[in-house]
Amino acid sequence: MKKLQNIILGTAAIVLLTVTSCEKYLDINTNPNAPTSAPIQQVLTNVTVNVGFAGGSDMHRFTSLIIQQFAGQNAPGTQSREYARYQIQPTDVNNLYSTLFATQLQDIEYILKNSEGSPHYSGIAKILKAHIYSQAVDMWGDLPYTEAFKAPEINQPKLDKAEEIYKTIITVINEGITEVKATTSALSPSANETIFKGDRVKWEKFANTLKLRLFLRYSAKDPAFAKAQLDALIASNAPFMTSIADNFQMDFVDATASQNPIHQFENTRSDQFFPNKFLVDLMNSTSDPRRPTYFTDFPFGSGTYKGATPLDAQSFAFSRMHTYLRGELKRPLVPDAQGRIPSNPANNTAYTGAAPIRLLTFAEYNFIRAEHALRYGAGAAAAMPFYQAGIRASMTMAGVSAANQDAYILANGLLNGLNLEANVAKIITQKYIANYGVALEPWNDWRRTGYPVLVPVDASIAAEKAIPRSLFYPESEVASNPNFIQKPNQLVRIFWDTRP
Amino acid sequence: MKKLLQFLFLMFVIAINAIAQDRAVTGTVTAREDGLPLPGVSIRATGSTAGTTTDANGRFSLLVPSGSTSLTFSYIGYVQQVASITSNSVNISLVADQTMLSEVVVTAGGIKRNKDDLGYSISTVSSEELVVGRASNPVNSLAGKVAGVRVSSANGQVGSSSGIFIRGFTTFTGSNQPLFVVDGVPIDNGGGFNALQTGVSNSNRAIDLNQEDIESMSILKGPAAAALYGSRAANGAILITTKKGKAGTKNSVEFNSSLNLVEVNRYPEYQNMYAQGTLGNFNSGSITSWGPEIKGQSVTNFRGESETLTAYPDNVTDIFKQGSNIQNNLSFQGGTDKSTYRLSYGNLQERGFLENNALKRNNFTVNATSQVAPKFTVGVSAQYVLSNSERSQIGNQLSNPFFRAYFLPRSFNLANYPIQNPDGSQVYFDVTDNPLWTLRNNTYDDVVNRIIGNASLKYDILPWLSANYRLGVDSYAFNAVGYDQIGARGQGNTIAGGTGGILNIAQNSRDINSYFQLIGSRNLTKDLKLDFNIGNEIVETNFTNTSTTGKQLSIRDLKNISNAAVVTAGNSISQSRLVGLFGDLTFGYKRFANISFTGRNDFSSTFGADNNSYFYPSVAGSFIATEALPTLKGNILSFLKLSANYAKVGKEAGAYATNTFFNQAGAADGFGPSIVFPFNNLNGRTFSNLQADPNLRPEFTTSKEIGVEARFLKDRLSIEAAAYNTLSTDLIFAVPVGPSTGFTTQNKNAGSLKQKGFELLVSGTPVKTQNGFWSVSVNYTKITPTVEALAPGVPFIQLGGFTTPGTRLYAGEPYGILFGSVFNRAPDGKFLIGANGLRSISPTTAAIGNTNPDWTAGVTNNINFKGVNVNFLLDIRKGGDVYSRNIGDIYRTGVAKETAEFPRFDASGAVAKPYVLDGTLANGQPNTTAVTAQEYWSNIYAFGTGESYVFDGSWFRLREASISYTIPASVLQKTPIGKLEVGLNGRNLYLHAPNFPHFDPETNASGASNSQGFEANGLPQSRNFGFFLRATL
Repeated sequence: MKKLQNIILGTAAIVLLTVTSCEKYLDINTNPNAPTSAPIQQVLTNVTVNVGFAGGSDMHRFTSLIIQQFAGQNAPGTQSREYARYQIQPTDVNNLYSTLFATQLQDIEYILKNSEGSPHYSGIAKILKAHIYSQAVDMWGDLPYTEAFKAPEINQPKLDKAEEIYKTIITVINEGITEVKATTSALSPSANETIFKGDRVKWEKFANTLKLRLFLRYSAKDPAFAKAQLDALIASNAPFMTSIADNFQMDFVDATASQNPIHQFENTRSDQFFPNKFLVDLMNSTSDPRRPTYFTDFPFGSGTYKGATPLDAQSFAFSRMHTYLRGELKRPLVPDAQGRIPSNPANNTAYTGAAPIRLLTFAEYNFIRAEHALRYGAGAAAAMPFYQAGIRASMTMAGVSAANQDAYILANGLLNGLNLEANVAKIITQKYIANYGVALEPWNDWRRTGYPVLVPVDASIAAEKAIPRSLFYPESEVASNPNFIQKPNQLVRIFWDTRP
Repeated sequence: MKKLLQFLFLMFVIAINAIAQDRAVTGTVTAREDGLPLPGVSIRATGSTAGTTTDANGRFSLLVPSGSTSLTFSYIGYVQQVASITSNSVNISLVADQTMLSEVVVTAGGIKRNKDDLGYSISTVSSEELVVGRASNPVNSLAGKVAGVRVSSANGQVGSSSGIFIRGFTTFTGSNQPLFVVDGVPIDNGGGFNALQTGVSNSNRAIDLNQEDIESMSILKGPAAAALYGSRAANGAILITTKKGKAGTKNSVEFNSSLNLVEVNRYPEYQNMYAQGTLGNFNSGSITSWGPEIKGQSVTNFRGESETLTAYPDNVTDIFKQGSNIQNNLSFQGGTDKSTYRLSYGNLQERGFLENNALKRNNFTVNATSQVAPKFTVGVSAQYVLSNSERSQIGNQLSNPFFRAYFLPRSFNLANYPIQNPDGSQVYFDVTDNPLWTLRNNTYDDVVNRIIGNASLKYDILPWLSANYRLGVDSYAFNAVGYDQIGARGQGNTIAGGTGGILNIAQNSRDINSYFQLIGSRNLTKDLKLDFNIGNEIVETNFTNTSTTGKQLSIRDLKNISNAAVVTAGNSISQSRLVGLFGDLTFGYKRFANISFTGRNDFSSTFGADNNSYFYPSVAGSFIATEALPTLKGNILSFLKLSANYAKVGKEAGAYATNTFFNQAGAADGFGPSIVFPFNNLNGRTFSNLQADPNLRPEFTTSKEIGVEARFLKDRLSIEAAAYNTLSTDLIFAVPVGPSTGFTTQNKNAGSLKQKGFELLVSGTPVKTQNGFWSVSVNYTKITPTVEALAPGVPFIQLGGFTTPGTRLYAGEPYGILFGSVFNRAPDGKFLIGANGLRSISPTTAAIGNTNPDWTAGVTNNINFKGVNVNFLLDIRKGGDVYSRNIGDIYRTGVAKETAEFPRFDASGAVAKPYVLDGTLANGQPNTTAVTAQEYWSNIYAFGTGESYVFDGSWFRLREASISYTIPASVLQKTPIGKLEVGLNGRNLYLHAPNFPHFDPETNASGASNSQGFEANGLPQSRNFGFFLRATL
């Protein structure tokens, strides 16, 4: 029996020892793979790269297909084909929405909370926040703002009115401008900020130009407000973009998984995304000299250009997007016997993929000014220099020679429409051509002004009764946040979209 | 009273016999199935008390009273036999008694117990049952054999994973796979998950085990059976006991060998009338076969050459080839009274049905025990595994050889063209990789070096008490090299965008388990017995993963990272520790009532200090009615047991789940385009989209089970039934939140999952003679898992698949619902048909299928007659929906036989319109618009249309079969061979899937995953058949 006692005592001792040393033994749950805080410099890099990437990804595909700059191709059911017939489902927008909110805006919130003493960081973060929120509102309308980014305290943020968000982000831009202009800042971004490489003057110019863009958005809803705000902003001597070097664009580089996402998509989803017949024919009608960099010719070497439509049978006998969106050619493309350019590794890797993703260009700035002058200023004569400067800026980006620019301006550069509406149409049509590769803005302009005049895709395939006026809310948000009520269709308009 | 009479009568008979004269009879007793001598067989001279047992060599010598004319041989596990004494030598071989349920089973902690005493469910699968089909993956060998166990094979590519679910699911997104335990030490069975859009079909690591080394698998079902293993066995455990030498047996050498052919088990049926093209016109670039009728006309092919339009009925089957599976095993074993040993080498070489698909596995195993002092035994069990495997790309990507090859245009023959140009670039009509080119050029090889072993010490403190210590390690190094050829078009291993890529993966896994146990067994009173097992477990898991990706290659086929211009690398380390204290007290009363109490307290490193200690108990009771009330026992009923149990088990979180982190930056959109950091020499960090909860607590599963076991007709018929329910609460999972919170998910305790299950096992021996028997066993399983609740306001979470379609958990619905797009419906519930005569897709997705089978069953037949043994297993599954992209694909592209059920052209040569879709127009009128075959099939099966891609996965299959013959020992007497068995075997020999056209419904895109019933361009299943031999020297 003594033996048994010893055993029990011994066991108890082992158990006790185990328990007491246990806490230390178990204290190993510190993640060696990822930190719980990060330098704001590196977080800003993520934001600027993602802002550029988003501008060349889903956002560009949805909106450029809706607005007929591009046409979906390949087998029936291929996503681009579906989007082109307005079949953009709530699940299709999950990824884009998450990128904007949970990646870009969330990281911006972190920068804002951790940039005390570094107004240059908080200023840029605020300007970006306004830019991203404006994109989100223009696609979806009402969204959470005041209650957003407060998890876990608020897991189901309520929505704010789109119009209220628009007002707020103007204030945010103004704060951002003040902060980027601060004379002292403990930390200042440099090359880690991949859009302007830390050039704060450019940030200020962009911020002001973004305000122009947003104020012009009220042209249909509240022309008086638009005029007053634009007049005041222009009169304030605020600096605006002065050349294409001021473009708000993200430069990608010629290395795998570092290339322009529009170009990457052309490789990973071959033969699904072709220039639209509408855009190509529009440019054909003026023998637009931007075509040789915008598109490949078809048949190859013919100097003629052919776009696709959503009704076309599966084929790749079309012009493709070209160096303007894919970067320079490193070697010539190799066509097949029928003059088509097969999507094969040789052709896909012929491009550098280093084209920028353009988000707000100097060309657009000029078209905004032209429209402002036309609508609210001295009229067509005052607008025309901006109109022509816009075309020239676009052509310069597209590598068009000065002589060809002159010839084009001579033939097409006059704002000589019969009335204001005709001239608005001219400006927006040129803006539409210039904004090839710019996500969202051509759709915004069309919803605001009705230009260029588009024929909706054929009713036999269309998934909506008319061209969409907004996107469905993402399923991810609707499913988890009861404050979101899904739209009945994509014809629900954004607050500024009030044209008849 | 009756018994007393019997006893008196017996005494009387003995007294008479004792007077008569004796004579000496000698002989040897062997086992019929392997010819080996049987030690310890009890021999009694019939009608007398004279008796003896066989020695270690199966020999006996007995003085038989002259009144006895026969001997009765009885031995546990063998059919009792009576042999007449015709000379002084009686040699006999005993037949194993298949009806006799293995009385002694291995329970948690490796403790052997009488199955009749248990209050919970355990099933045992023996070595012989495991190897019938000669499957390479031991998990596959369990398919259909055990009630409550569901095996799900990803695909038939050699080395592919199989998931195994014991009694369904206990958690939402964490692992629902059981714990694998080899000789008392848990091992890793991870790695079986497949990505949907990139990479190869992965292996689950149990594939490293050689089934020839396995003596038995004991399936511990549910928390009660596995309570002592704690967290990791919330989904049950599979205790693998390896073969060992037996004490007191002579040294023997066993050799066995099998050769099987491997092929695809089911091919689609194709139309062979209509050519590549659309709208009735030939198009050399089209992926569909809606072209003209094939009449030998001349067309221009995709290379611009003229060729004669021809149908190629075998163009798809020709991509596959004949594979083979060769297994050789050699073992040495034996034992003295004090020590035992077994040493074995196993070699498996399997070549699959695709080029560059193989598995080569070598297993070196040693087991030894020795009683080094009278009360002290030491043992070691170790195996080294060296495995090499080559596999090909799968999934929704252009480098999957079967991304589009199942619907190769009927007029396109790969063999007619070169697959590549002299510069190595591909020749193909489509934007995907040429199927043969990708098989040859986009390669993947992995090597596993693994050691699984344990050392054990046992000290018998008192006759009824022993202390055991066991230290086990499972350590492996996994090295993989993936290569994407320059010019590859799909995502492949590296997503290199055609520039060529190399993927080097180096993983090291090390699990260390330590067990100290005090095991005792003592009679407290005359009628009350106590068995106990108290101890502790210390588990430490370490996993490191380093992966290096190189892109932009310059030299073809140089699979070295130096060949890459751009190299990115990443690594991760994961470590967790768990300390458990456990105890099991079992009281047995008079051999008919047993009650067990277990308790376990875990301390886990994965929780914060406030939540890291948690306790959970179990109680299980059994009552053997036929022992308690002997009058129940009769010629009809021979055994009746009732059992019940209640158990609770806590489950820990994954490592590092209590903090929110900054991940390395990146960008991707799901279509391939991506930014991998460092970007342009800049690094970036992004706040995780997953918000952690520092107050995470363990999740708990409670289960209640009742069981009944009855045996009839002298144990010829046996019925076992169990009904249970489980409730899992506080489940840890990533709860979706609206991205406007800044996160897309939050890790927290939420939700509950409820299951009801019923299992039935009916076994019987319709025929039993001295020459053989026929035994049948039918198992039946019905499990209804229901997601009771997710998190407040969360109606569903994604389980797997694509953004849409995919698999989800919906609150209030069965576990694992298929969802996807659906067609618009008219108010009358019929399809809404447009003016074009076609259906249209609704903007909202909906639930489109339930992946859970209604029930599953297995029927094992074993017929043994004069040395010939026939064994076959029927595997039946009723219900269980499967989303099949392959089926949708062969319809929408016009290659399936049905798509040519009506002529596609009318007499004038115009495209015919033989179909009118059933449905209602917007104006409420029935649709009458006729459409063409192309419109019909490509509307209903439009790419990605969830609703029509869902098929009922019911099946009836001949899962395994073998027929073998054991050469009689008499024939072998003059040879050194002690036993020789030869036979034929096969697996997946016949499939009938009544509602699943063209393909095998056993397929899963995600491999061993909670997401089941979802196929995205999956590879087929395999069938194998061949012969084997087993010899013992």
